[in-house]
Amino acid sequence: MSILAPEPMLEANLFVLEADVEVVTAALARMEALHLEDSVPEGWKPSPEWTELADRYGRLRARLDEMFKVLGSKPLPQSPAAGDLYPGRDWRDIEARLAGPEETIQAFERQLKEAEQESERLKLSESQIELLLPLDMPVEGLRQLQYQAVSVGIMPSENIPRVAEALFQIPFILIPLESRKDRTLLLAASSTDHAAILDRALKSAFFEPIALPPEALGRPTEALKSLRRKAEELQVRLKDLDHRRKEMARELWPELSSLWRRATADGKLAEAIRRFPKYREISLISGWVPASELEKVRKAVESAAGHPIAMEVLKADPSRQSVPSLVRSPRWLEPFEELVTTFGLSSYNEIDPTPIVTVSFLIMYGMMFGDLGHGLLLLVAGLWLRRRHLDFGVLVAAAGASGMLFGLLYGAAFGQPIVHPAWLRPLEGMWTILAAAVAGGVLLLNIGFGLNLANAWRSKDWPRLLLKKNGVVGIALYWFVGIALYKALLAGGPGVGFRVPPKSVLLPIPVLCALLWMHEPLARWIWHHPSRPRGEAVVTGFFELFEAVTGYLSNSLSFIRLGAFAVAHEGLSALVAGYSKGRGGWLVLLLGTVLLVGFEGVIVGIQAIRLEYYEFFGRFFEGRGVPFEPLSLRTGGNHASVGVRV
Amino acid sequence: MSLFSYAAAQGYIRARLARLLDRATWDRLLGARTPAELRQLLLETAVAPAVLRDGTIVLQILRGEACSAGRALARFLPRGSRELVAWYNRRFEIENLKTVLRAVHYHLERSRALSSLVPLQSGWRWEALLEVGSVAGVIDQVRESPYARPLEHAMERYTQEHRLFYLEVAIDLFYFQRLVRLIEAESGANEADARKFLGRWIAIENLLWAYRYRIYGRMTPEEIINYTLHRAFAVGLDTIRRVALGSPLAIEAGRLGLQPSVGLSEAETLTEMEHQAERERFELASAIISRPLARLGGILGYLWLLDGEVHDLTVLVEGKASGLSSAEIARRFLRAA
Repeated sequence: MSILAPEPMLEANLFVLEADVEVVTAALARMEALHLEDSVPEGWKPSPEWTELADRYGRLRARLDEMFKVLGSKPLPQSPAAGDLYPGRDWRDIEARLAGPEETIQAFERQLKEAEQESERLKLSESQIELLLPLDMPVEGLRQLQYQAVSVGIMPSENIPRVAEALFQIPFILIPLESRKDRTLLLAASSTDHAAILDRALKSAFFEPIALPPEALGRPTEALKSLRRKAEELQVRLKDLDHRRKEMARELWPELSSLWRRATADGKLAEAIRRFPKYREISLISGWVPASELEKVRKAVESAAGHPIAMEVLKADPSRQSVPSLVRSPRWLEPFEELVTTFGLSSYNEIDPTPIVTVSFLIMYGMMFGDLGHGLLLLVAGLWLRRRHLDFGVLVAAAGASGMLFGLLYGAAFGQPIVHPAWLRPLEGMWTILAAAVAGGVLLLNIGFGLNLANAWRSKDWPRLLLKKNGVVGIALYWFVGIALYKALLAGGPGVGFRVPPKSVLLPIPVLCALLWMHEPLARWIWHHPSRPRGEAVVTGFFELFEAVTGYLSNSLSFIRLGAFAVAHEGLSALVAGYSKGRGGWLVLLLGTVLLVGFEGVIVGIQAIRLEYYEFFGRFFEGRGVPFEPLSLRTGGNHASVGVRV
Repeated sequence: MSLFSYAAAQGYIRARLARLLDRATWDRLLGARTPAELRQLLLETAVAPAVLRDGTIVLQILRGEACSAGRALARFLPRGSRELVAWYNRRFEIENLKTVLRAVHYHLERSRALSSLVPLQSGWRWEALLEVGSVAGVIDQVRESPYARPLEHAMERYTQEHRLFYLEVAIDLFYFQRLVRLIEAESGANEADARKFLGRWIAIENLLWAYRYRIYGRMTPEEIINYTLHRAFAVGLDTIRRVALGSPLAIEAGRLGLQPSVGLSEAETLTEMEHQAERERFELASAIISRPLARLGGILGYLWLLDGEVHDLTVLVEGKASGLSSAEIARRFLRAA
């Protein structure tokens, strides 16, 4: 296994007897080594029996979820079900064991809901009656208004101004009475002539009317007293119910949790099995297995079935198949994977650039942020983040360490020249560091070219390998143009001016340009590669050639920013150090350092990412891989439950 | 600072621009004589991942990729713009949530609902939501999300009348109101870009909603006002009131610079305006992408181009399947024929 290449995959087709399909699928799911094929034979439909079973387990899980919700607890999602799984019949047992607790919980829920609704209703009634306290008249009198349409109810608070705007055609009154969370108790009134408009406007603003409580009789003070007495009695009842809920949860949780895990696991198996194509008594389980795990898979399924299983193993053909890619990075590389996966996942045919990106990112970062002191601060910040279980912290710490290393090369800490530089001080050796930055960029681009050749070779894409702008022709053109420019502008030394490069350098350039220009017709002619109509290919080829040549130059020179940022960092650091010598200098040093580390630390990170994504990845990386997601029993495991993620 | 943040985003976009189909490829695709030939041609392009091995073309895969691109780009941006782009990107999530609500409400086949979902890497358990037996159950499942509150507000009305419209309009209003606030919170060149791209889009959408409610829903003025945005840049409350009281679409669309044809019914004009607005978005996006992208407009432009590509591919695939001629299909494209 190489850390640069995705794990080799084999296509495994298992021909399984109907009687064995459950145990074999369960064994595969427990192994987590088979990525099921997405596609199915033309005209084939999923098995209706297993679809019904998958739905049945979905419903069982929903019922269990509902019960957990009532009990205010949750199952442990990560632990798969113990024991053997038989999704074809397990549901009977689950349903039987579920019935008793469900009945108890539902009865309890009904009581709880009734009590809660009653409590809520009493609270609202109280609020309404409180508002009527100034009225010295019986509440029932309000129910008999003749010339006013009055509604009291709750409405999302943000909708009140909207209703006011919507009622622009009629005279109306809106009185917000009391706000609770994001809703407001509102009194709305208009004349009875406009009652219909008022009603429509209120309804369309999600107004929920509240009828005056029927039990509120007599003067408001008397009615309120009676309501409060009832509310107190209800509170005692709600406390009792809560106590009972906790007891029930303690008692029922182990059983319900076990049923939930079983229903989840069986549901996943049923979901997988329903998609297996079947011919008479034989089901076909088709998927991708890492080559290193094939034998283990074979042994596991045969042991589960109790007899040999017919298995066809085919080599992956990425040119016609969508092969999932499984990149197993060493532990130390994992925190850096996100640098690549943010852009995309390497496909099966592509070399995974994570190790190269990690090294090049850290070098670029350190070069732009070279300072022992600033790097140390970043290192400490990174380690602190890591202690808080943020993987991102490792990246920050490594960037800090790289900054420290370059700080030694530049001989600087907190902007002060504290030691003799092992290499140079950026401000003094500005031209050297700019040239070194471009040289580093050229090296990285050429690594990108190399990776493109390797990727093209792996996918047997000969036009890409030989004729395209990042293939052999393109690389040769890049070097000849580069050497010609060097000979013309720089080889004579400073101030010499333009010199005509030698013919041995100049002559291949037009030939290579012509090959690159005509790459599409040539690919069609040599490999019968599909291409655009000839005229169109010639015209677009010319523009592509132009873009390729300017791209070579701009991509190479783009790396000059590495040197420029190094110079800027030293300049800014020196400035902060300079101003921190007077009174209150510690404050200047503190603020300046925070600004430099926080502000510039982010900027150089972004610049390094930009160089990776555009200049480097542009040479070779597509990043459109399909992730290897094996059949699994874990909640959040994929494939058996397409699209479900936790 | 923001300039530097945009550098990474620009790198990301520039590296991916080549994946958009070029004019010559579109011409080739248009020239496909049969759906099978179209499938074969698509397999040779950058959108090949949308063609499954059994030949099915699943364009939702490309929409999922567009959503991932939006999420990746948002991460590069400075805080204000990041929040704006991330919220704008939630349109895919909202679309999926509506799909789930429709599937549960109308008891649609699970497989059909699944194929309509945009594959998002967003942590939502869409398939599990489809298994929930009721709309109330779905809302309960999303109670931790920002959409729970507006949905709960509309739930009472939904329960009474059993119409999904109330839930959908509640989410839309919530989403767009926040988007408007985020645009208004931007400043300088980014605010100008946000207004130019998203602000105009929201204004046109708001106007078209008002007309849809009036023409298709036959709603009363107060309902139209309650179901539209009151602050939506060029289309505010005054415009909505005029629409609610009967102002003709041709006049209001003309005020926004759209150009309705003469002699069409209001319903036909509405369709024409919808297409014109989409086309205008696409042209704006195409124009900005050819310039340096170191501003918010570049990010939005790129995301719109991705949307536009999926739109045109949908037209192409559907058009070929229904036997439309290339000219008829091209006329329905957002890109110029």
